[in-house]
Amino acid sequence: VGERAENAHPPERCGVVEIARHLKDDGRALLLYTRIGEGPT
Amino acid sequence: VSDGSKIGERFNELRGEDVVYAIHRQDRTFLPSREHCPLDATRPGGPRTEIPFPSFEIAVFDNRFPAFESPHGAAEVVVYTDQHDGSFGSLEPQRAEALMWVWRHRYMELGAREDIDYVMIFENRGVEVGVTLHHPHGQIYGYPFLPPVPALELEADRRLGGCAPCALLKRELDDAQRIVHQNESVVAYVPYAARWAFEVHVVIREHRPSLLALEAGELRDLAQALQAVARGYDALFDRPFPYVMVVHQAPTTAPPPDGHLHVEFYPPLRTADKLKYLAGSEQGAGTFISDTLPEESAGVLREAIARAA
Repeated sequence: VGERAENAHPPERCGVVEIARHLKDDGRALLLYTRIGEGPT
Repeated sequence: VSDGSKIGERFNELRGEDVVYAIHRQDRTFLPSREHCPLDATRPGGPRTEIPFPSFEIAVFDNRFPAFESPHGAAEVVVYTDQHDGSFGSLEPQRAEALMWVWRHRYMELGAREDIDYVMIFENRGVEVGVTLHHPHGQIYGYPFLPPVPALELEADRRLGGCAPCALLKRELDDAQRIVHQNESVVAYVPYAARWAFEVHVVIREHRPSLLALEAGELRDLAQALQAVARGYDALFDRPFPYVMVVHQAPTTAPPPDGHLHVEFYPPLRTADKLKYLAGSEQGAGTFISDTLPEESAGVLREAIARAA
């Protein structure tokens, strides 16, 4: 819906969450975190 | 601010502290209608929100009305869920655990920036503490300086000759009468010298400077304890209980000073319908006058937390 995904590389992980980085149209950062279960930090 | 920039600090000499002026915040979104919540997911055909996706789990974005912004600090919004109704306390336990990892990630990223000396994760809940959006969310400020409260905590370490939260936790465990909840990794208590009637400190048992030092099980236990306190608050007077919740951690200056991760709740209610105001003594002298004893508050809160479990 207009926002630019910055995911040129695979999503990052931090513990039980995966991180998808986006940039809003006005330049502000938007990060979406999704629970994926246990994993490396 | 006086030079035309929208954010600026001035040093208040009499108080020995910085005051931040962010005058654009005067026009920030204020208690919008249910249909125009900017923290909802963007519904197909609906108004565009801050999160332009039809659903999400946890979202973090730069505040549209920041008190700090790069390259002189940061201000972020953390949306706990795409469900408009609910609260931190009513999140699924797995979501609350995931939120701890989000906090950890933000502390790591913001703390690594040279322009940020202190990362403060917090939540304001309820119009009584100035909430302007009801959707379950918190905020993160990356301060470009060390604010007075964490500076005082470092001073307490020096005064007590070691980690102050470690010493105070031991004191509370030995005394035991103000403890309201505990699990394997975390202890929650109304502190001996609480300022607020139902103030609670949620403290990691082991000495951990920040979220970065917590093990996975400790993060899970922290989420459990924080939710237990939040639910207990709501059960206390059978009403949504306003509070300010603040995560205290080591500053992120280089080299980082020590710290001891703990979370402090500052609830303004002293009864079901009476607020504690910061009035003459609190504002003019800096001395809190409390109408309740921490031991008595802890007793009723402990029962409320047990009822809400």
